[in-house]
Amino acid sequence: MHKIHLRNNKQYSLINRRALANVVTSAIILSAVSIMGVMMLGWSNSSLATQKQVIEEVFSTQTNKINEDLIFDNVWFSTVCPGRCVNVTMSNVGTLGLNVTEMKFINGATLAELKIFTYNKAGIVPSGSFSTNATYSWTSGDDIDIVVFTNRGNQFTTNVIAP
Amino acid sequence: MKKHRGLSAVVGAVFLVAVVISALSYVTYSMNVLGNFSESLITEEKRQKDKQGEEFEITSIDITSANKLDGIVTNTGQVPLEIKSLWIEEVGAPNSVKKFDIGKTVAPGDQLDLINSVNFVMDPTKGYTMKMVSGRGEVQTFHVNSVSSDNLYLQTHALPAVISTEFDTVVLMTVTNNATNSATILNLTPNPFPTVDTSSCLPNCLATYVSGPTPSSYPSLKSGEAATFKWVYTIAGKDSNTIKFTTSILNGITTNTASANGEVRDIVSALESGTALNTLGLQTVTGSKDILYLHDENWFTPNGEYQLQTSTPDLGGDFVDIDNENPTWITNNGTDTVVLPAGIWTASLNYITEFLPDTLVQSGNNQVDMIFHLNKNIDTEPDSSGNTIGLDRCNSPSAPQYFSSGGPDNSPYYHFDGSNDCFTSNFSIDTNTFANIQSSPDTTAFWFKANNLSVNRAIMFRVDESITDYSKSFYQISLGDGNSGSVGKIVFEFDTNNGGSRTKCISTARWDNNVWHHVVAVRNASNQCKLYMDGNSTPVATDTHSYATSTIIGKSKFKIGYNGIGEYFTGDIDQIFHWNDKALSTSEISSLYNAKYGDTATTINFSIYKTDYLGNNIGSPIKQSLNYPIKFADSGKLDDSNSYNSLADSIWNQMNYTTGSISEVTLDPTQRLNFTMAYVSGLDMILRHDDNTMISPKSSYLQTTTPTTLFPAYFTYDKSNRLQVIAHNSGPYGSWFVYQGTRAIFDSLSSTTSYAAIICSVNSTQSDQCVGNANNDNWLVTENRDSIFIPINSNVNLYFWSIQDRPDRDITGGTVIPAGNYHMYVFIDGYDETGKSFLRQMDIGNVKVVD
Repeated sequence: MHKIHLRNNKQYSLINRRALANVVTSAIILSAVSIMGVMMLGWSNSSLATQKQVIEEVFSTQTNKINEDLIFDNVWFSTVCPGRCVNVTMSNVGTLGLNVTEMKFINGATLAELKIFTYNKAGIVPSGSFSTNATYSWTSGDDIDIVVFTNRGNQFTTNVIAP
Repeated sequence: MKKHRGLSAVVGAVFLVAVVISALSYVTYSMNVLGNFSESLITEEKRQKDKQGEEFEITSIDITSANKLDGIVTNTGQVPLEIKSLWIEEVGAPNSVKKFDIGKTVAPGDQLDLINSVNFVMDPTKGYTMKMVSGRGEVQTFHVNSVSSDNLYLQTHALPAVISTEFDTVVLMTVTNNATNSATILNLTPNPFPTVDTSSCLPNCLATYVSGPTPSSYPSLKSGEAATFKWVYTIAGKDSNTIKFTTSILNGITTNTASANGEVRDIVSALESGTALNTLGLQTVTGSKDILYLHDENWFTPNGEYQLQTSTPDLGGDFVDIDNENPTWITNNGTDTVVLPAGIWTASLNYITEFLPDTLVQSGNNQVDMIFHLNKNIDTEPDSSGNTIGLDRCNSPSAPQYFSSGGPDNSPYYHFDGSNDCFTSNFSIDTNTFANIQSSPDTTAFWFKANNLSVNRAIMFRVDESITDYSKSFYQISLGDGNSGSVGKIVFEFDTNNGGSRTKCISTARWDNNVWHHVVAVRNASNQCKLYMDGNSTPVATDTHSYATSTIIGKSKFKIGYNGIGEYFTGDIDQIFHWNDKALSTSEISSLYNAKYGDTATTINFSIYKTDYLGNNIGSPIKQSLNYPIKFADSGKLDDSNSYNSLADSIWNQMNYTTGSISEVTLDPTQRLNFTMAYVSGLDMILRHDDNTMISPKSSYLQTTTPTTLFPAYFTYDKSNRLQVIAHNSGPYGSWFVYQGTRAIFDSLSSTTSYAAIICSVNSTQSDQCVGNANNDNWLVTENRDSIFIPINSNVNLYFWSIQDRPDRDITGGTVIPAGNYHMYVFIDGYDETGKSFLRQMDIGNVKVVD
C-alpha cells in the first residue's frame, strides 16, 4: 500500500514535472520562434530598404541621364580672345538642368588629348545656353573633336575644323 | 500541448502576415518605380519624336535696298517650331561672328520674316555663313553669297568646244552642292566673268564677251542639287588656237574653279567671212554721246532705279521729290566696254524748292497767305503764294534798292533809305482775304537789318485802313514806338477798334545792331500779342491786353518800310511771310527761322558709282559730294504733289552740279553707271526729269566726258512702227545681206511663245519702209534681190516686216507680237566682198515692246 502510495506519489510527482517541462518547452519554442521571427523580419526589412535605395539611385541616375540633352549652338574660331581661342556655345535642350564639368579638345586624327578645360560654375537651365572662350592656339585646318562632360556622366561630342 | 500548438500557430501567422506585407510593399514599390521609369521614358520618347518631327527651311534670303538682311523661314515640320537664335559669320572674317536671339514660335506651315527679327546690315559683295538654331536643338547651316569652306563640285564646258572664228560659244558651268555639311547655299552667284586665257594662241586670239551669266544667281541650292550658269562669247583666232575659260563662284574658295577649252576653227577652204558686224541696237532718238538724260522709266533696271541713258526724254516730264525718294538713275549694261576720258562731269538739274518746311505746309486757314521773297528786282515783287498780285515799289525803278546777295543765307534783299523807299500792296486790304487786320489770329514774319537808328519810329510792316494817322485801326511792326526811349526796340502793335486802345508788344533791348534778325509777330485769337526773335521759343515781348474789334472803314493798302504819314525805315528787309488766320506755334517759329531761302536752301549728297550688272556699287565712288548746297528756287505758287506736273517749263529752275576733275573711267560690258541724289537737310527739293518739252535748258541730265562708245540704251519698241535695227560694219570687208536668213527674234521673258520678223529693206527712205512699190525698190530685200552694199565703217538701218509668231511678209496668218518684255536677237545672213558667206547672231538685249 505504501509502495503503491509511493508509486502513486511518484506517479503524481512525475505527472507534475511533465507539465512543467511542457510549459518550459513551449516557452522556449515560443521564444525561439519569436526571436527568429523578429530577426527574420528585421533582416527582410533591412534588405528591402537597401534594395529600395539601390533602385531609387539607379532609377534617378538613369532617368536623369536619359533626360539630359545638350547641343552645340555654334563653335567659332577667334583670334582676338585675347590670343587665339575657340568660342563654344552650347544649349541645354533637355528637360532637366545640367552642369558642364569638363570640356576636352581631342585631335580628330590622332585622338590625342589637346587640352582639357574644367568648369565648376557651368550650370545650364533647360533652354538656357552656356558660352565659353576656350583659349587654344589653333592653326588653320586643325581637326578638333570637342567633348563636353556633364556631372551626370553624359558626354556630348562635336567635330570642327579650324578655318 | 494542444493549447501551445495553437499559440505557435498564432505567432507564426503574425510573422507570416508581416512577411507577406513586407513582400507586398516591396512589390508595390517596385512597380511604382517601374511606372515612373516608364513615364520618364515616354516623356523622353515624346521629346525625341517632337525633335524628329521638327523641320524648317530657309525659303529665301534677300538683301533690302538698305542692305538689311531679309528672308523667310518656313516651318515645314509637324510641330510648332521655336526659332531660338541666328549666328552670322562673314566669310574670311572669323572675328565677325554675331548672334541674334530671335525667340519666336512658328506654327506648322507658317513663316517667319527675318526682317522683323534680325537687324543686320550686309555687304552684298561678301559671303556669309549663317546658322539657325531651334529650341529643340535642330541646327541648320546655310551660306549666303558664299560657298562655305568646302570645295563644291564644279564642271565647265564650252559648247561647242570647237568654234569657227567669229562665232559664238556658250560657256556652261554646273555647280553641284556636295558640301559635306549638307548646308543649303542661298543666293549662289558666279563670278561675273570667267577668266579667259588666250596665252596659248599664236599669234593671238580673242574671246569677246556677249552675255551672261544667265541666270545671274540661284536663290537656293540645297544639298545634292545642281545649278547651271552660262555665258556667251564670240571667238576669233587662227585655226587650232585654244582659249581657256575658267569659271568660279563668287566668294568661293580661290582654288575652287573649273576650266574648259574652246578650240578655234578657221576653215580657210570654206566660204565663211570674217566681216565684223555689230549691232547698235534699236532705233532710239539719241542725243549727244556724252549726255545721259535722267529718265522716269524704271523697267529693266536692276532694283527699280530710274533709267539713265542717252536717248532723249520721251515723256511729258515727271517730278521726283528728292527727300521722299533719294533717287538713283542707272545706265544699262551692254556688250561693249565704255571708256570715259578724264575730265569734268556736270549734272544739269531742273528743280524747284518747296515754299515752306514740311511742318508748315498746311491746308485751309492754316496755310500761309502771303510770301514775299523780294528776289526779283522788278517794280512789282510777286507774292510767291500766288494769292495776291504782289508789292509795288513806291519810287520805281531804284527805290528801294535791290541787292542780289547779302541777305539771310546770302539771298537777295532790298535796302530802304529812310527817306522815301517803300513797297505798297497792289490790292486793298478790305477786299482781300489774305491781309485782313480786323480778324485774328495772324502771324507776320520777316528778316530785317538796321544799324543804330536815330528815329523814334521806323516802320517795317504796316496794314491800316487810313493813310492819314493813328486814329483808325492798324497793324504794325516797327523799330521804336514813336517815343524817344524806344529807339531801336522791336515793336508790334495793333488797333482793331477804330482808334481805341492798342495792344502793344515792345522789347526791352534794341535790335538795330547791323545784324540780320528774324522777327515773328504773333496775334492770337484773343487779340493778344507776342514777339519772337531769331527762332527763340521765349518771346522778347508779350501783351495780354485784349480789345474788341470793329469794322474796317475805307480802303487802303499795306506798306513795307513806311507808315503812310512820312515815317520811313532805314535798313534792309527780306523774306516776308504772313498768315492771316493762324498764330504760329513756337516749334513752327523755329522751323521758319531755320528754313533757308538763299544759297543753301537744301543740302544734297551726290554720288556717282560704277556698279555691277545687278546694280551693286563697285569700290569707292567715282565722285561723291556730301552736303552739296542747293540754292532756293521759287515756284511762285503754293504747290503740292498734285500740282508739280502742271508747272510750266519756265518755272523750273536750272542748276549745275559740277564734279571737278574725274580720272578716266572704264565700264566693263556688264557694268553700269549709277547717279544718286540723297536728301540731307533743308527745304524739299523737287526735281523735274524726262520732259520732252524742255528745250532750254534741256531736261535734267548728267554730262560725262565723251565716251569712246555709246552707252547701252534701254530699248523700247513701239510695235505700231516698223522695227528698225541699226547695224555697223566695222570691216574688214564690205558686205551684203540676203533675204533668206536675216531675221529679228523676240524671245518672250514671260511666256513660252516667241516671235520673229523677216527683213524687208535696208536704209529705206520711204515712210513705210516695207512697202512694195517702185520708189522702194532700191532698198527692198527680197528673195529676188539682196540688200544694198554696206561699206566698211558704215551704219545701216535694217527694217523688218511685222513681228509675228509665224513670220511672213505681212500676209494673212500669224499672230502679231503682243506688248511685253522680250530678249531680242538679230540673225544676219550675208556675204562679203571677198565672196565669203557669214552668219551672225547679234544679241540686242532686253527690249520692251509697247502698243
